[in-house]
Amino acid sequence: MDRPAVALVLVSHSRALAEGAAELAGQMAPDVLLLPAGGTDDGRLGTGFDVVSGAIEQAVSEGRSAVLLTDLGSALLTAESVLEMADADVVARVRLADAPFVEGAVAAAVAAQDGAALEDVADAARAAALTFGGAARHPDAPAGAGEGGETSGWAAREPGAAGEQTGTPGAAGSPGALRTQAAGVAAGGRPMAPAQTAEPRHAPDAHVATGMGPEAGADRSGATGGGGTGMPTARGTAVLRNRFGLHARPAAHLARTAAAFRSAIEVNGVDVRSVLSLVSLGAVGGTHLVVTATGADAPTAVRAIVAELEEGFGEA
Amino acid sequence: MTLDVDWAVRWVRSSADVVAAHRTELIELDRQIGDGDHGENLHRGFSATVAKLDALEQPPAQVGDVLKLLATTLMSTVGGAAGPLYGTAYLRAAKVTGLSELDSAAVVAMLEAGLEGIVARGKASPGEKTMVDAWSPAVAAAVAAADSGQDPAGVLAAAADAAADGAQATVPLVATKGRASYLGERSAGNADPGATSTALLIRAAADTAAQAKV
Repeated sequence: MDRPAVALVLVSHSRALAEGAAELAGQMAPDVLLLPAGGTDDGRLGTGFDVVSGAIEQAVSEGRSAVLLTDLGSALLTAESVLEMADADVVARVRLADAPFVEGAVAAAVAAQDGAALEDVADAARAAALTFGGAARHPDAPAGAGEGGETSGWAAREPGAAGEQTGTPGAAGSPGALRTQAAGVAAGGRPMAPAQTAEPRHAPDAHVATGMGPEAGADRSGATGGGGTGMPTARGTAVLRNRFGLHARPAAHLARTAAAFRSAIEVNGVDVRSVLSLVSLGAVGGTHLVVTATGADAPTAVRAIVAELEEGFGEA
Repeated sequence: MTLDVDWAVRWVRSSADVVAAHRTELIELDRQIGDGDHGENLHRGFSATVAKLDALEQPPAQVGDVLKLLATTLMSTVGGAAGPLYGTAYLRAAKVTGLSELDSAAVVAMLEAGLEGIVARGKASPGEKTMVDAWSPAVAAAVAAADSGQDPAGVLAAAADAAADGAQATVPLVATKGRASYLGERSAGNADPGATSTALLIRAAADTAAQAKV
Protein backbone atom coordinates (compact mmCIF):
# COMPACT_ATOMS: atom_id res chain seq x y z
CA MET A 1 0.00 0.00 0.00
CA ASP A 2 1.00 3.61 -0.30
CA ARG A 3 2.76 5.11 2.64
CA PRO A 4 0.52 7.09 5.00
CA ALA A 5 0.61 10.85 4.46
CA VAL A 6 2.24 11.60 7.79
CA ALA A 7 5.79 10.52 8.61
CA LEU A 8 7.59 10.62 11.96
CA VAL A 9 11.03 12.01 12.70
CA LEU A 10 12.52 10.75 15.96
CA VAL A 11 15.20 13.11 17.26
CA SER A 12 17.36 11.70 20.02
CA HIS A 13 20.80 12.26 21.53
CA SER A 14 21.49 8.62 20.83
CA ARG A 15 21.45 7.03 17.40
CA ALA A 16 20.63 3.68 18.99
CA LEU A 17 17.73 5.16 20.95
CA ALA A 18 16.25 6.83 17.86
CA GLU A 19 16.60 3.65 15.82
CA GLY A 20 15.14 1.57 18.64
CA ALA A 21 12.13 3.85 18.98
CA ALA A 22 11.58 3.66 15.22
CA GLU A 23 11.80 -0.11 15.32
CA LEU A 24 9.35 -0.33 18.21
CA ALA A 25 6.83 2.05 16.64
CA GLY A 26 7.23 0.34 13.27
CA GLN A 27 6.04 -2.93 14.73
CA MET A 28 2.56 -1.46 15.06
CA ALA A 29 2.72 0.85 12.08
CA PRO A 30 4.44 -1.05 9.29
CA ASP A 31 3.63 1.39 6.51
CA VAL A 32 4.51 4.66 8.22
CA LEU A 33 7.79 6.30 7.26
CA LEU A 34 9.71 6.42 10.56
CA LEU A 35 12.97 8.31 10.38
CA PRO A 36 15.43 8.06 13.25
CA ALA A 37 17.55 11.20 13.66
CA GLY A 38 19.83 10.31 16.55
CA GLY A 39 23.33 11.35 17.50
CA THR A 40 25.53 14.08 16.10
CA ASP A 41 26.61 14.55 12.52
CA ASP A 42 29.75 12.53 13.30
CA GLY A 43 27.99 9.82 15.28
CA ARG A 44 28.57 10.96 18.85
CA LEU A 45 25.96 11.35 21.58
CA GLY A 46 24.17 14.65 21.00
CA THR A 47 22.04 16.13 18.29
CA GLY A 48 23.19 17.33 14.90
CA PHE A 49 21.71 20.02 12.74
CA ASP A 50 22.38 18.16 9.49
CA VAL A 51 21.09 14.85 10.82
CA VAL A 52 17.80 16.44 11.82
CA SER A 53 17.40 18.64 8.75
CA GLY A 54 18.17 15.69 6.47
CA ALA A 55 15.54 13.54 8.17
CA ILE A 56 12.94 16.31 7.98
CA GLU A 57 13.66 16.85 4.30
CA GLN A 58 13.16 13.16 3.61
CA ALA A 59 10.05 13.01 5.80
CA VAL A 60 8.22 15.80 3.98
CA SER A 61 9.23 14.72 0.48
CA GLU A 62 6.66 13.20 -1.87
CA GLY A 63 3.99 15.45 -0.43
CA ARG A 64 4.07 14.02 3.08
CA SER A 65 3.87 15.98 6.30
CA ALA A 66 5.76 15.04 9.44
CA VAL A 67 5.52 14.96 13.21
CA LEU A 68 8.76 15.39 15.16
CA LEU A 69 9.41 13.88 18.55
CA THR A 70 12.43 14.82 20.64
CA ASP A 71 14.09 13.43 23.74
CA LEU A 72 16.30 15.57 26.01
CA GLY A 73 16.72 19.36 25.86
CA SER A 74 19.07 19.93 22.97
CA ALA A 75 17.09 17.61 20.71
CA LEU A 76 14.20 20.05 20.88
CA LEU A 77 16.55 23.02 20.54
CA THR A 78 18.18 21.56 17.45
CA ALA A 79 14.82 20.66 15.91
CA GLU A 80 13.57 24.20 16.53
CA SER A 81 16.73 25.65 15.02
CA VAL A 82 16.33 23.54 11.90
CA LEU A 83 12.74 24.70 11.53
CA GLU A 84 13.74 28.31 12.10
CA MET A 85 16.02 28.06 9.08
CA ALA A 86 13.80 25.84 6.95
CA ASP A 87 11.63 26.97 4.04
CA ALA A 88 8.14 28.11 4.97
CA ASP A 89 6.48 25.32 2.97
CA VAL A 90 8.45 22.74 4.95
CA VAL A 91 7.66 24.39 8.29
CA ALA A 92 3.97 24.43 7.38
CA ARG A 93 4.01 20.65 7.04
CA VAL A 94 5.88 19.86 10.25
CA ARG A 95 4.60 19.66 13.82
CA LEU A 96 6.78 19.41 16.90
CA ALA A 97 5.00 17.17 19.35
CA ASP A 98 5.70 17.92 23.00
CA ALA A 99 5.43 14.32 24.07
CA PRO A 100 7.22 11.48 25.81
CA PHE A 101 9.65 10.08 23.25
CA VAL A 102 8.88 6.37 23.16
CA GLU A 103 5.20 6.42 24.10
CA GLY A 104 4.55 9.39 21.86
CA ALA A 105 6.29 7.71 18.95
CA VAL A 106 4.17 4.58 19.28
CA ALA A 107 0.92 6.52 19.67
CA ALA A 108 1.71 8.82 16.75
CA ALA A 109 2.81 5.95 14.53
CA VAL A 110 -0.44 4.06 15.13
CA ALA A 111 -2.46 7.19 14.38
CA ALA A 112 -0.47 7.77 11.19
CA GLN A 113 -0.94 4.15 10.18
CA ASP A 114 -4.69 4.70 10.54
CA GLY A 115 -4.44 7.53 8.07
CA ALA A 116 -4.92 10.31 10.61
CA ALA A 117 -4.21 13.87 9.51
CA LEU A 118 -1.13 15.80 10.63
CA GLU A 119 -2.74 17.57 13.58
CA ASP A 120 -4.31 14.36 14.82
CA VAL A 121 -1.04 12.45 14.64
CA ALA A 122 0.65 15.22 16.64
CA ASP A 123 -2.19 15.18 19.16
CA ALA A 124 -1.94 11.41 19.52
CA ALA A 125 1.71 11.86 20.47
CA ARG A 126 0.93 14.62 22.95
CA ALA A 127 -1.93 12.67 24.51
CA ALA A 128 0.51 9.85 25.25
CA ALA A 129 1.72 11.89 28.23
CA LEU A 130 -1.69 11.40 29.80
CA THR A 131 -1.19 7.65 29.96
CA PHE A 132 1.29 8.16 32.77
CA GLY A 133 -1.52 9.15 35.13
CA GLY A 134 -0.61 10.74 38.44
CA ALA A 135 -1.64 14.15 39.69
CA ALA A 136 0.78 16.17 37.58
CA ARG A 137 -0.52 14.69 34.37
CA HIS A 138 -4.14 14.57 35.32
CA PRO A 139 -6.25 16.69 33.02
CA ASP A 140 -7.88 18.33 36.01
CA ALA A 141 -4.56 19.38 37.48
CA PRO A 142 -3.82 23.11 37.40
CA ALA A 143 -2.36 24.18 34.09
CA GLY A 144 0.93 25.12 35.66
CA ALA A 145 1.48 21.79 37.37
CA GLY A 146 4.12 20.72 34.94
CA GLU A 147 5.95 24.01 34.77
CA GLY A 148 9.63 24.08 35.37
CA GLY A 149 12.54 22.37 33.79
CA GLU A 150 12.68 19.90 30.99
CA THR A 151 12.17 17.19 33.56
CA SER A 152 8.49 17.93 33.64
CA GLY A 153 7.98 19.97 30.58
CA TRP A 154 5.33 18.08 28.69
CA ALA A 155 2.44 19.99 30.08
CA ALA A 156 4.17 23.33 30.11
CA ARG A 157 6.02 23.73 26.85
CA GLU A 158 4.53 25.26 23.78
CA PRO A 159 3.65 22.66 21.21
CA GLY A 160 6.18 24.06 18.84
CA ALA A 161 8.35 27.05 18.22
CA ALA A 162 7.77 27.40 14.54
CA GLY A 163 4.57 29.34 14.94
CA GLU A 164 2.48 26.42 13.85
CA GLN A 165 -0.08 26.89 16.58
CA THR A 166 -3.27 26.31 14.72
CA GLY A 167 -6.80 26.39 15.92
CA THR A 168 -7.01 22.65 15.89
CA PRO A 169 -10.19 21.54 17.53
CA GLY A 170 -10.96 20.05 14.14
CA ALA A 171 -14.35 19.56 12.68
CA ALA A 172 -16.73 18.56 15.41
CA GLY A 173 -17.46 14.92 15.07
CA SER A 174 -14.36 14.09 13.07
CA PRO A 175 -12.51 11.06 14.36
CA GLY A 176 -9.84 13.24 15.89
CA ALA A 177 -11.99 15.86 17.51
CA LEU A 178 -12.14 14.35 20.94
CA ARG A 179 -8.53 13.41 21.05
CA THR A 180 -7.76 16.97 20.16
CA GLN A 181 -9.54 18.14 23.24
CA ALA A 182 -7.85 15.63 25.44
CA ALA A 183 -4.53 16.73 24.07
CA GLY A 184 -5.39 20.34 24.77
CA VAL A 185 -4.30 19.69 28.30
CA ALA A 186 -0.85 18.80 27.15
CA ALA A 187 -0.60 21.55 24.62
CA GLY A 188 -0.03 24.64 26.68
CA GLY A 189 -1.96 27.45 25.14
CA ARG A 190 -5.11 25.72 24.15
CA PRO A 191 -8.38 26.00 25.94
CA MET A 192 -8.90 23.15 28.30
CA ALA A 193 -11.91 20.98 27.91
CA PRO A 194 -13.07 18.38 30.34
CA ALA A 195 -11.69 15.44 28.44
CA GLN A 196 -12.94 11.94 28.57
CA THR A 197 -9.70 10.80 30.16
CA ALA A 198 -10.74 12.69 33.25
CA GLU A 199 -13.12 9.92 34.07
CA PRO A 200 -12.00 7.25 36.47
CA ARG A 201 -10.46 4.24 34.82
CA HIS A 202 -12.57 1.59 36.38
CA ALA A 203 -15.71 0.04 35.22
CA PRO A 204 -18.68 1.83 36.73
CA ASP A 205 -20.39 -1.52 36.91
CA ALA A 206 -19.80 -4.92 35.43
CA HIS A 207 -22.60 -6.50 33.51
CA VAL A 208 -21.66 -9.68 31.77
CA ALA A 209 -24.35 -9.41 29.18
CA THR A 210 -23.83 -7.40 26.13
CA GLY A 211 -26.43 -4.73 26.11
CA MET A 212 -27.29 -1.75 24.09
CA GLY A 213 -29.42 1.26 24.63
CA PRO A 214 -29.59 4.96 25.00
CA GLU A 215 -27.93 6.42 28.00
CA ALA A 216 -28.79 9.62 29.74
CA GLY A 217 -25.20 10.72 29.62
CA ALA A 218 -25.09 11.27 33.35
CA ASP A 219 -21.41 10.44 33.56
CA ARG A 220 -20.47 12.74 30.77
CA SER A 221 -19.93 16.41 31.06
CA GLY A 222 -21.76 17.27 27.91
CA ALA A 223 -18.74 19.23 26.78
CA THR A 224 -17.02 16.37 25.09
CA GLY A 225 -17.16 17.67 21.63
CA GLY A 226 -20.39 17.14 19.85
CA GLY A 227 -22.28 19.94 21.48
CA GLY A 228 -23.58 17.85 24.33
CA THR A 229 -27.18 17.07 24.91
CA GLY A 230 -28.36 16.29 21.40
CA MET A 231 -25.73 13.63 20.73
CA PRO A 232 -26.74 9.97 20.73
CA THR A 233 -24.93 7.85 23.25
CA ALA A 234 -24.61 4.10 23.53
CA ARG A 235 -23.23 1.71 26.07
CA GLY A 236 -22.31 -1.94 26.04
CA THR A 237 -20.37 -4.41 28.11
CA ALA A 238 -18.04 -7.19 27.13
CA VAL A 239 -15.72 -9.74 28.68
CA LEU A 240 -12.19 -9.94 27.34
CA ARG A 241 -11.89 -13.39 25.82
CA ASN A 242 -8.24 -13.70 24.99
CA ARG A 243 -5.99 -14.84 27.81
CA PHE A 244 -3.45 -12.02 27.59
CA GLY A 245 -6.02 -9.29 27.41
CA LEU A 246 -5.50 -5.82 26.02
CA HIS A 247 -1.81 -5.90 25.22
CA ALA A 248 -0.38 -3.81 22.42
CA ARG A 249 -1.55 -5.76 19.39
CA PRO A 250 -5.22 -6.10 20.38
CA ALA A 251 -5.19 -2.49 21.57
CA ALA A 252 -3.88 -1.34 18.20
CA HIS A 253 -6.53 -3.48 16.54
CA LEU A 254 -9.29 -1.84 18.58
CA ALA A 255 -7.89 1.62 17.88
CA ARG A 256 -7.93 0.90 14.16
CA THR A 257 -11.52 -0.33 14.33
CA ALA A 258 -12.51 2.79 16.24
CA ALA A 259 -10.94 5.00 13.59
CA ALA A 260 -13.72 3.99 11.22
CA PHE A 261 -16.33 5.71 13.38
CA ARG A 262 -17.09 9.33 14.04
CA SER A 263 -18.21 8.88 17.63
CA ALA A 264 -16.05 9.31 20.70
CA ILE A 265 -15.60 5.81 22.06
CA GLU A 266 -14.28 4.76 25.44
CA VAL A 267 -13.43 1.48 27.06
CA ASN A 268 -13.54 1.67 30.85
CA GLY A 269 -13.25 5.41 30.61
CA VAL A 270 -10.26 5.66 28.31
CA ASP A 271 -10.17 6.76 24.69
CA VAL A 272 -10.28 3.65 22.55
CA ARG A 273 -8.22 5.42 19.89
CA SER A 274 -5.32 5.79 22.29
CA VAL A 275 -3.44 2.51 22.21
CA LEU A 276 -1.38 3.47 25.22
CA SER A 277 -4.43 4.32 27.30
CA LEU A 278 -5.94 0.96 26.42
CA VAL A 279 -2.76 -0.91 27.32
CA SER A 280 -2.46 1.04 30.56
CA LEU A 281 -5.85 -0.32 31.64
CA GLY A 282 -3.95 -3.52 32.32
CA ALA A 283 -7.02 -5.54 31.40
CA VAL A 284 -6.27 -9.26 31.31
CA GLY A 285 -8.38 -12.11 30.00
CA GLY A 286 -11.73 -12.37 31.77
CA THR A 287 -11.91 -8.66 32.61
CA HIS A 288 -15.30 -7.07 32.28
CA LEU A 289 -15.18 -3.96 30.17
CA VAL A 290 -17.66 -1.15 29.63
CA VAL A 291 -17.81 0.41 26.20
CA THR A 292 -19.42 3.80 25.76
CA ALA A 293 -19.78 6.01 22.73
CA THR A 294 -21.09 9.47 22.00
CA GLY A 295 -21.82 10.61 18.49
CA ALA A 296 -23.95 10.05 15.44
CA ASP A 297 -22.88 6.44 14.96
CA ALA A 298 -22.58 5.58 18.66
CA PRO A 299 -24.68 2.38 18.66
CA THR A 300 -22.82 0.87 15.70
CA ALA A 301 -19.50 1.84 17.17
CA VAL A 302 -20.22 0.20 20.51
CA ARG A 303 -21.46 -2.93 18.75
CA ALA A 304 -18.28 -3.17 16.70
CA ILE A 305 -15.94 -2.69 19.66
CA VAL A 306 -17.88 -5.12 21.86
CA ALA A 307 -17.77 -7.70 19.08
CA GLU A 308 -13.99 -7.40 18.78
CA LEU A 309 -13.50 -7.76 22.52
CA GLU A 310 -15.71 -10.83 22.62
CA GLU A 311 -14.03 -12.43 19.62
CA GLY A 312 -10.68 -12.46 21.40
CA PHE A 313 -8.63 -10.96 18.59
CA GLY A 314 -7.89 -14.36 17.15
CA GLU A 315 -5.91 -15.37 20.24
CA ALA A 316 -6.53 -18.26 22.56
CA MET B 1 35.81 54.22 16.60
CA THR B 2 33.74 51.53 14.91
CA LEU B 3 34.09 47.76 14.59
CA ASP B 4 34.35 46.15 11.16
CA VAL B 5 34.52 42.73 9.59
CA ASP B 6 38.21 42.39 10.43
CA TRP B 7 37.31 42.75 14.10
CA ALA B 8 34.66 40.04 13.69
CA VAL B 9 37.12 37.61 12.11
CA ARG B 10 39.71 38.30 14.81
CA TRP B 11 37.04 37.88 17.48
CA VAL B 12 36.08 34.43 16.17
CA ARG B 13 39.74 33.36 16.03
CA SER B 14 40.35 34.74 19.51
CA SER B 15 37.20 32.98 20.78
CA ALA B 16 38.54 29.69 19.45
CA ASP B 17 41.79 30.30 21.33
CA VAL B 18 39.98 31.26 24.54
CA VAL B 19 37.71 28.21 24.36
CA ALA B 20 40.73 25.98 23.76
CA ALA B 21 42.50 27.52 26.75
CA HIS B 22 39.46 27.03 28.99
CA ARG B 23 38.36 23.71 27.53
CA THR B 24 39.27 21.68 30.61
CA GLU B 25 37.73 24.21 32.99
CA LEU B 26 34.44 24.16 31.05
CA ILE B 27 34.44 20.37 30.90
CA GLU B 28 35.00 20.24 34.64
CA LEU B 29 32.17 22.70 35.36
CA ASP B 30 29.84 20.77 33.09
CA ARG B 31 30.84 17.48 34.66
CA GLN B 32 29.63 18.82 38.02
CA ILE B 33 26.13 19.57 36.82
CA GLY B 34 25.67 18.28 33.28
CA ASP B 35 27.00 15.77 30.81
CA GLY B 36 30.57 17.07 30.83
CA ASP B 37 30.79 17.90 27.17
CA HIS B 38 30.45 21.70 27.09
CA GLY B 39 34.17 22.47 26.78
CA GLU B 40 34.76 19.74 24.22
CA ASN B 41 31.69 20.68 22.19
CA LEU B 42 32.50 24.40 22.04
CA HIS B 43 36.13 23.64 21.23
CA ARG B 44 35.00 21.48 18.31
CA GLY B 45 32.54 24.14 17.11
CA PHE B 46 34.94 27.08 17.17
CA SER B 47 37.77 25.04 15.66
CA ALA B 48 35.48 24.04 12.81
CA THR B 49 34.51 27.69 12.29
CA VAL B 50 38.14 28.79 12.11
CA ALA B 51 38.80 26.03 9.61
CA LYS B 52 35.93 27.30 7.48
CA LEU B 53 37.22 30.88 7.70
CA ASP B 54 40.63 29.66 6.57
CA ALA B 55 39.09 27.87 3.62
CA LEU B 56 37.04 30.82 2.37
CA GLU B 57 38.07 31.96 -1.11
CA GLN B 58 36.59 35.41 -0.62
CA PRO B 59 36.90 37.14 2.76
CA PRO B 60 33.54 37.86 4.39
CA ALA B 61 32.22 41.34 3.59
CA GLN B 62 30.30 42.23 6.72
CA VAL B 63 30.22 41.44 10.43
CA GLY B 64 26.92 39.67 9.84
CA ASP B 65 28.53 37.26 7.34
CA VAL B 66 31.06 36.16 9.95
CA LEU B 67 28.36 35.72 12.59
CA LYS B 68 26.23 33.67 10.21
CA LEU B 69 29.11 31.36 9.37
CA LEU B 70 29.81 30.94 13.08
CA ALA B 71 26.14 30.29 13.85
CA THR B 72 25.59 27.62 11.23
CA THR B 73 28.88 25.90 12.01
CA LEU B 74 28.14 25.75 15.73
CA MET B 75 24.66 24.37 15.06
CA SER B 76 26.02 21.53 12.95
CA THR B 77 29.13 20.63 14.92
CA VAL B 78 28.55 21.26 18.63
CA GLY B 79 26.07 18.47 19.39
CA GLY B 80 24.90 19.72 22.79
CA ALA B 81 22.43 22.44 23.70
CA ALA B 82 25.15 25.07 23.28
CA GLY B 83 25.02 24.50 19.51
CA PRO B 84 21.45 25.63 18.90
CA LEU B 85 21.63 28.19 21.72
CA TYR B 86 24.78 30.02 20.59
CA GLY B 87 23.84 29.28 16.99
CA THR B 88 20.50 31.03 17.37
CA ALA B 89 22.10 33.92 19.27
CA TYR B 90 24.69 34.56 16.56
CA LEU B 91 22.15 34.06 13.81
CA ARG B 92 19.86 36.71 15.31
CA ALA B 93 22.89 38.94 15.88
CA ALA B 94 23.88 38.44 12.23
CA LYS B 95 20.51 39.77 11.13
CA VAL B 96 21.12 43.16 12.74
CA THR B 97 24.77 43.43 11.67
CA GLY B 98 24.49 43.43 7.90
CA LEU B 99 26.71 46.51 8.10
CA SER B 100 30.29 47.20 7.18
CA GLU B 101 30.89 49.13 10.41
CA LEU B 102 29.33 48.87 13.88
CA ASP B 103 28.99 51.89 16.13
CA SER B 104 28.01 51.65 19.80
CA ALA B 105 24.30 51.47 19.03
CA ALA B 106 24.91 48.62 16.57
CA VAL B 107 26.97 46.73 19.14
CA VAL B 108 24.10 47.06 21.62
CA ALA B 109 21.64 45.87 18.96
CA MET B 110 23.89 42.87 18.26
CA LEU B 111 24.03 41.88 21.93
CA GLU B 112 20.29 42.41 22.37
CA ALA B 113 19.55 40.23 19.36
CA GLY B 114 21.85 37.55 20.77
CA LEU B 115 20.06 37.55 24.11
CA GLU B 116 16.72 37.46 22.36
CA GLY B 117 17.87 34.39 20.41
CA ILE B 118 19.06 32.60 23.55
CA VAL B 119 15.78 33.27 25.32
CA ALA B 120 13.69 32.31 22.29
CA ARG B 121 15.52 29.01 21.96
CA GLY B 122 16.10 28.07 25.59
CA LYS B 123 13.01 29.64 27.20
CA ALA B 124 15.07 30.44 30.29
CA SER B 125 14.67 33.43 32.57
CA PRO B 126 17.33 35.08 34.74
CA GLY B 127 18.07 33.16 37.93
CA GLU B 128 17.69 29.66 36.47
CA LYS B 129 21.44 29.04 36.29
CA THR B 130 21.82 29.27 32.52
CA MET B 131 23.71 31.39 30.02
CA VAL B 132 20.90 33.93 30.32
CA ASP B 133 22.38 34.85 33.71
CA ALA B 134 25.49 36.15 31.92
CA TRP B 135 23.79 37.49 28.78
CA SER B 136 21.13 39.56 30.58
CA PRO B 137 23.45 41.69 32.73
CA ALA B 138 25.81 42.01 29.77
CA VAL B 139 23.07 43.54 27.64
CA ALA B 140 21.96 45.85 30.45
CA ALA B 141 25.53 47.04 30.98
CA ALA B 142 26.02 47.53 27.24
CA VAL B 143 22.91 49.68 27.02
CA ALA B 144 24.08 51.82 29.94
CA ALA B 145 27.58 52.19 28.51
CA ALA B 146 26.28 53.21 25.11
CA ASP B 147 23.91 55.71 26.72
CA SER B 148 26.80 57.28 28.58
CA GLY B 149 28.66 57.80 25.32
CA GLN B 150 31.14 54.91 25.40
CA ASP B 151 32.66 53.73 22.11
CA PRO B 152 32.09 50.13 20.89
CA ALA B 153 35.15 48.83 22.74
CA GLY B 154 33.90 50.47 25.94
CA VAL B 155 30.44 49.02 25.42
CA LEU B 156 31.86 45.52 24.98
CA ALA B 157 34.17 45.93 27.98
CA ALA B 158 31.21 46.89 30.18
CA ALA B 159 29.26 43.92 28.82
CA ALA B 160 32.17 41.56 29.49
CA ASP B 161 32.53 42.74 33.10
CA ALA B 162 28.82 42.32 33.73
CA ALA B 163 28.79 38.88 32.08
CA ALA B 164 31.66 37.71 34.27
CA ASP B 165 29.86 38.95 37.39
CA GLY B 166 26.68 37.28 36.18
CA ALA B 167 28.45 33.97 35.60
CA GLN B 168 30.03 34.13 39.06
CA ALA B 169 26.61 34.84 40.56
CA THR B 170 25.31 31.51 39.21
CA VAL B 171 27.47 29.57 41.70
CA PRO B 172 24.90 29.30 44.52
CA LEU B 173 21.92 28.92 42.20
CA VAL B 174 19.92 25.73 41.80
CA ALA B 175 19.30 24.91 38.16
CA THR B 176 15.72 24.61 36.96
CA LYS B 177 16.42 24.48 33.21
CA GLY B 178 18.45 22.14 31.09
CA ARG B 179 20.23 18.95 31.99
CA ALA B 180 21.42 20.36 35.31
CA SER B 181 17.82 20.60 36.53
CA TYR B 182 17.79 16.80 36.95
CA LEU B 183 20.25 17.28 39.80
CA GLY B 184 18.04 19.62 41.82
CA GLU B 185 19.84 20.97 44.91
CA ARG B 186 23.04 19.23 43.91
CA SER B 187 23.40 21.70 41.04
CA ALA B 188 24.35 24.49 43.49
CA GLY B 189 28.00 25.16 44.29
CA ASN B 190 29.55 25.61 40.87
CA ALA B 191 29.19 28.25 38.18
CA ASP B 192 27.01 27.39 35.22
CA PRO B 193 29.18 26.28 32.29
CA GLY B 194 27.04 28.12 29.73
CA ALA B 195 27.17 31.37 31.69
CA THR B 196 30.92 30.91 32.09
CA SER B 197 31.51 30.38 28.37
CA THR B 198 29.26 33.37 27.59
CA ALA B 199 31.45 35.56 29.78
CA LEU B 200 34.60 34.24 28.09
CA LEU B 201 33.24 34.88 24.60
CA ILE B 202 32.10 38.42 25.36
CA ARG B 203 35.48 39.09 27.02
CA ALA B 204 37.15 37.92 23.82
CA ALA B 205 34.99 40.36 21.85
CA ALA B 206 35.93 43.20 24.19
CA ASP B 207 39.65 42.41 24.15
CA THR B 208 39.69 42.18 20.36
CA ALA B 209 37.86 45.51 20.15
CA ALA B 210 40.35 47.12 22.55
CA GLN B 211 43.23 45.95 20.36
CA ALA B 212 41.50 47.52 17.37
CA LYS B 213 41.87 50.93 19.02
CA VAL B 214 45.65 50.89 19.27
